[in-house]
Amino acid sequence: MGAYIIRRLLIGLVVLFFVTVILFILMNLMPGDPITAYIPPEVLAQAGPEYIEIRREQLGLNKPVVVRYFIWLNELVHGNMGYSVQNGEPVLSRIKERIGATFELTGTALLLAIIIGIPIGIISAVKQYSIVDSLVTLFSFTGVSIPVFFLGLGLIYVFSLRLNLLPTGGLATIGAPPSLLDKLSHLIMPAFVLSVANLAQFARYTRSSILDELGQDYVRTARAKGVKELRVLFYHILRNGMIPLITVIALQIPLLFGGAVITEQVFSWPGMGRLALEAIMQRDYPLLMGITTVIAILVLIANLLADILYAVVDPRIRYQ
Amino acid sequence: MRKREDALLKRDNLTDAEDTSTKLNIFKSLKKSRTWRRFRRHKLALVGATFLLVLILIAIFAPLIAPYDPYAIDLSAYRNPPSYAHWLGTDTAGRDVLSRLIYASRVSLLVGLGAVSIYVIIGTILGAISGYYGGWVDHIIMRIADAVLCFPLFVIILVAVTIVGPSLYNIILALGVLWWPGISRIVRGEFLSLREREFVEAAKATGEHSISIIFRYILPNVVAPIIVAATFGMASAILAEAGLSFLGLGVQPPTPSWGNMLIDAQSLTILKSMPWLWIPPGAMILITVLSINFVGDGLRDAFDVRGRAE
Repeated sequence: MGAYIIRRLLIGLVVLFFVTVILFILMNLMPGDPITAYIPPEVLAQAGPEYIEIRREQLGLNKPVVVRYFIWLNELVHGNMGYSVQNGEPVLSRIKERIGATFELTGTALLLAIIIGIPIGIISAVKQYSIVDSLVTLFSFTGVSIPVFFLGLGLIYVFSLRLNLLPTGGLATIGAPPSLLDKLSHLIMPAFVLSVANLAQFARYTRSSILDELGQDYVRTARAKGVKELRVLFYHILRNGMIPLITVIALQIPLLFGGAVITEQVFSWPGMGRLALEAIMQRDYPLLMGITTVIAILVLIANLLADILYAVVDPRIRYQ
Repeated sequence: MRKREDALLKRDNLTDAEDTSTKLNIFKSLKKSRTWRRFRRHKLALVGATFLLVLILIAIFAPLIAPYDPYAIDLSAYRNPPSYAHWLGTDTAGRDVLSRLIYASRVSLLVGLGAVSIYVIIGTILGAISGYYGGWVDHIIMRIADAVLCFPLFVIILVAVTIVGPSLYNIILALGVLWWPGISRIVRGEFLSLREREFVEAAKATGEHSISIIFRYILPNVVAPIIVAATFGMASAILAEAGLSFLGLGVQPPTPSWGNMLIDAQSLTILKSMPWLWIPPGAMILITVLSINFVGDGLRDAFDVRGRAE
């Protein structure tokens, strides 16, 4: 087991290395001379070429790309992601300000998807070809087909603008005393919007997974022994059918962060997704690089946890 | 009568046996085969296919169908609600919403077809090489695929599009170049099992070249799963374009795209009082993507492609 975890960890590090290399190349392809970001425009206009060269040397921008990459990597390992071009603040502290809100949003969305998606998938499979099953199927098709922003705007239109039930966006009511109810009322719509696509996927996957298991010999054996139907479902089938779902959930996590960018924009949610958009608009490359690296690390950790969980839950997996 | 039934039965059996034969001509068998009959039975897929057909015709004949020039600014008709003259009203620049909606169908269909064509080619070639040769080639290709897969692709496409500049063709290119890992994994899986079959062995024994075995002998047997995956891929590509355009990082106005037509709806006043500006384009994205997904599901049933909902 220990060797297996170390192996997965090493593969994860290799993948992370690839990811940072790709990102670094991309950032260096961005248009414009990065030196202009570090010298105020009024100074730049007056300064002679010698001054610019001196600054370039001080900043290390005259070094080859490969050298700069390893300097960046070395700093990264030591917890320094560089400085935001906009205000010179460390990238890491700007990300820290925002990461909590994103965790809140994506975490709630994932939780909603699991606790709603799996049960409706189970019901749909048990009642195959019933009206409920057809409705669930139609719902899951719609769920994966609806654009996140359209769903978000539609819900804001109905629940905030027409019914006046929920706030249109933000983390909490500004000026109001912090309360759980206020927080939840702000969280529920964006979290639901972000969860819909995953919810639909989980429902569909659970349904087909259980239908597969229903035809297995061990199910017939259990029934033949006189095991009660509910026990067959929850004790025998779910145990086997749910194992691959761990991988499916892990594979959805990158999509969750992608969806968070749009959801945070629609609901003015001050998380990392909006920070990434701000960085793009301001052409703040160090910040953008930092955000994408952090997201990549988070996704890799999630995958690693899923792999380990998978091996723990299913003893048939041999740790190779 | 009896004879005809026998012949039908025989033909069906032949269709079933086809995946063991060296070549499978999908287009020949599609016409009257079990595949077509199975697809026809999937009602939602038929509805979806019909809608898409109409949409393709609308996109092709947009200049003939659109009542107005989608770029014609008319400031006297600023944000007019739907009327007899403008069925879906006019937008912030007084342009006819219906005409823009019709022209925007071209963008979505182009992105779907363009991006998917690119990544299906890349993914198929890499997957075929990976599965056929195995060993270290397989290892390297699959690790790169893992790296791309574990990354939030929407975020990296966002970054890529920012670098090359947001435009229709750059979006197609970015999606096309980055989205191949899914297809390559499917193709690789099929190749891994097919390369052990007798017909491959026979081809090798007769001295066929590897490239010929990959493309002329094995690949035709993998066409069905590729078509199914490509169909679902088209739906995702259209959604991705809509999302990028909505964020202002996709197709740039004044060129209409269903995604960028919703940009204005980020203002609460427009969202609240001018639903004709944002409901039609949003609904078009939903219906189009839904139709494609139905067709994909129908094709999966019809081709009897293994594998669960992805």
